[in-house]
Amino acid sequence: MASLKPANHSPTLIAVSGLSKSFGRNIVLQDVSFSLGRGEVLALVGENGAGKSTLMNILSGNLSHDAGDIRLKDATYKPSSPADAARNGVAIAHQETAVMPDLTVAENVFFGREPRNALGMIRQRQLHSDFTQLAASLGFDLDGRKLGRHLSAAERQLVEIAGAISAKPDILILDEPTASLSSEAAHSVIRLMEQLKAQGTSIIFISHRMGEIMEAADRVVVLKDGALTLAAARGEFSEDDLIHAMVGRKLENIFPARPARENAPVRFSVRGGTNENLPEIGFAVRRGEVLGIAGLEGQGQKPLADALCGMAPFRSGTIELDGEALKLKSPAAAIAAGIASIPDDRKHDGLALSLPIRLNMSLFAITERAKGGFLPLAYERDFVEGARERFSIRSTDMEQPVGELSGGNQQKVVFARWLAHEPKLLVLYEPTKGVDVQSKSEIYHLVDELSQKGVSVILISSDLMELIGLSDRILALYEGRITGEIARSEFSEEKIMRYAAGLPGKRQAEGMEAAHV
Amino acid sequence: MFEGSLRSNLLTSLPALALSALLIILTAYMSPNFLSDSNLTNLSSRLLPIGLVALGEAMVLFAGRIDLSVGAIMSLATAIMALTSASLGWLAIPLALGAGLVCGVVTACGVNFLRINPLVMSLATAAIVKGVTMLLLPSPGGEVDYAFYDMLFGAERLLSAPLIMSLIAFIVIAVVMNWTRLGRSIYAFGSDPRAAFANGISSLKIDLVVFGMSGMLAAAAGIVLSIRILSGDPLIGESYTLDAVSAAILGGVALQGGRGNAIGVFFAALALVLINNTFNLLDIDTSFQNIAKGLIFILALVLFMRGKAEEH
Repeated sequence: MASLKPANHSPTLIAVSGLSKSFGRNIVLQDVSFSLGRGEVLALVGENGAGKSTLMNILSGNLSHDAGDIRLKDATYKPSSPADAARNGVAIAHQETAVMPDLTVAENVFFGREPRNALGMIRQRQLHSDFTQLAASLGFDLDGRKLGRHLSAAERQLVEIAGAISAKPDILILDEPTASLSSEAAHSVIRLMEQLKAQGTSIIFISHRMGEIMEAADRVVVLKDGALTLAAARGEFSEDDLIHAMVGRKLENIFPARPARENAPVRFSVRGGTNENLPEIGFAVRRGEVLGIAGLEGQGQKPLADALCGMAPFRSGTIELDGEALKLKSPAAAIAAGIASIPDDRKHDGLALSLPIRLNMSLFAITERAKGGFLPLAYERDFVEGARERFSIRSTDMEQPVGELSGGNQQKVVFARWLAHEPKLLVLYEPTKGVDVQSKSEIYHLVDELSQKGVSVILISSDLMELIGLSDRILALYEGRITGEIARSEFSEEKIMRYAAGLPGKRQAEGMEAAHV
Repeated sequence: MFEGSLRSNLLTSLPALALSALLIILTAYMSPNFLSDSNLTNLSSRLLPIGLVALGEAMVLFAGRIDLSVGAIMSLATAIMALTSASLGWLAIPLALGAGLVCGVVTACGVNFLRINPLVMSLATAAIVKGVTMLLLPSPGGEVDYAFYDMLFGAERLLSAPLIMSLIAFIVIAVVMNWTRLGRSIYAFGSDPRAAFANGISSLKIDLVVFGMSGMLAAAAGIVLSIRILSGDPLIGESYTLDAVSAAILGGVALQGGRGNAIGVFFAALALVLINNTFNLLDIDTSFQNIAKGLIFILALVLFMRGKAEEH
């Protein structure tokens, strides 16, 4: 693309040198140095827990650094708060966390910069018409009057980005801007970065997606365990270099090799399952099978996951597990039946963020073994240490609050909790969202290992590579119905997308539901 | 004018509006005295203190905090008025307001710097304030100049001074909350403190503003009370803490912060006064009045919690 010329000679806007930061004994950033010119795009890459978020938080005024020096426009830069960073022309779009639920989209976007009249009163109408203009110029499809609490994850992300851009910053920081977006929306964000860059804005973005890094970045900075392992300009690095710098070795076999298993008996089935959000759904999973469920954003994945874990039960239909009829009326009923489910929103549904890793992890393991109301604390210690080893969780110790861990490590804590003992059915909903490559691979091998032992797995995901790499069979979901089934031998991204878009052979697909297997 | 979040916010005022309208019709129907100038003046003289203290409490709740020291601050203000208005004259009023502000700042500092839970911190402030008040004025007494009474409650008419003052206080706070950046940052902080911080809001500023305002408005309410009873009383404010929280909740203010509107609180305060008035007109014992108040509080909580749950 024409706008992506290397920008090696643009004047330096920000220079970071020798930056270090630790939390207690835990060193999260160590002697990190890099610089960024005006109108350049820098991709910040690294596994979860590598120190990317800490670095962003220092630049955006959420954290202060212990040692080192940042120079912005040839002056020392040490922001005392996000507001101070904003005054210095640094704006950050967080990863969907900072949208205020009781304000509208437009109010969120212009928060703190609202147009006012002579009396200092906010001009509401002006604000909303300003927003309409901004959204149109950014090409975002957002309703300015919708309240923050009613937005989807993707919409929240766009609100964050629009808000940061509307501040007209010199440096725009985007924390995984595309992680929760559909590929189309992700493309429009990348195009937007190109526009902004052409206007002289410097951009730092965090991403796990190799494609967009290779496409958009003028420079990359790779962090591993808080230290800089690669800093390079466009043309000086390849995808392999990035992965090598991220994990410290060549990462092969991200996905486990899975032998075909077709004749195992059916373990779990749903026939005619319906509720407010699911018109009618039916499918079956064999013992030890990984059943992938694909679909575009919002085609019933969340309601299906919620129905399977008992959060928002089916209203009608029959569910069978190992030949016995089952009612999944509550999460407690699902757990009792041997269904473990890993939610996509681990921060809200899965983990108590302020509690230590130990308590989050041992929740199920320990309550089952309670004797006369007393908890077996010695057993808990062994269990937690064992799980930490098995899932290679990186933390200072097991008393660290889960909220301080990186996304990948948080997810491993969720897995450790649910897999305290082997479930019959494991329901995964976006299990690797916001998880780094290394942890992803660990999770994939774990799922494979479980399925080898006979655990049936339902994998609901928007990551096609993950579905293709891990599933034995894939069903496509469209508007809450299953519109297609693809056997492993016929897997291709194109085929899945066609079904997921509701395109071919609907009738044929419906015929296969439930009846199949 | 009523664009955006303000529109959804105003809806929270409707139940309180409906309730007070219903009560007005009921009481007017049951008691012919109700619409007399003297009863209306009496009503608005009771509305003013409850309205002011509820307004302050509402500001604290908008920010997702709570202030249980407002009753104690009211008592302190009556004591200051009773002890100093004879010698200081009208200067006693800024003195009492200043004392309220100091109490609010103390709570704000405890909440913000020491990270003490607001509920517990404001209870501690209340205990301290009560102790100081008892030292100043161990039993009801002292004297407030009758000239104050004459000015505030002298004229019996529909648009009496207390009613006008209530309206002004509510309108000013409603405008600040809904049309200024300060108000918006208070709502934003109440609805999600972490997100608000990330958007550049200082929690210290919010705490100082809401607890400071709550302290001052409680003191203002105490001043009004002392003028009405022409003396001070170290315990007179106690029952107002629950009234203040009740009025805020009944007015649609969310206990968990971020939602509600001063307009709703006005009508809720009015409703509470009308309920009291009705009980008095019907000659119901104060013990039963207290039981009824507690039940109304629970009812308000249940009504609004349900509304919230459905939205999710």
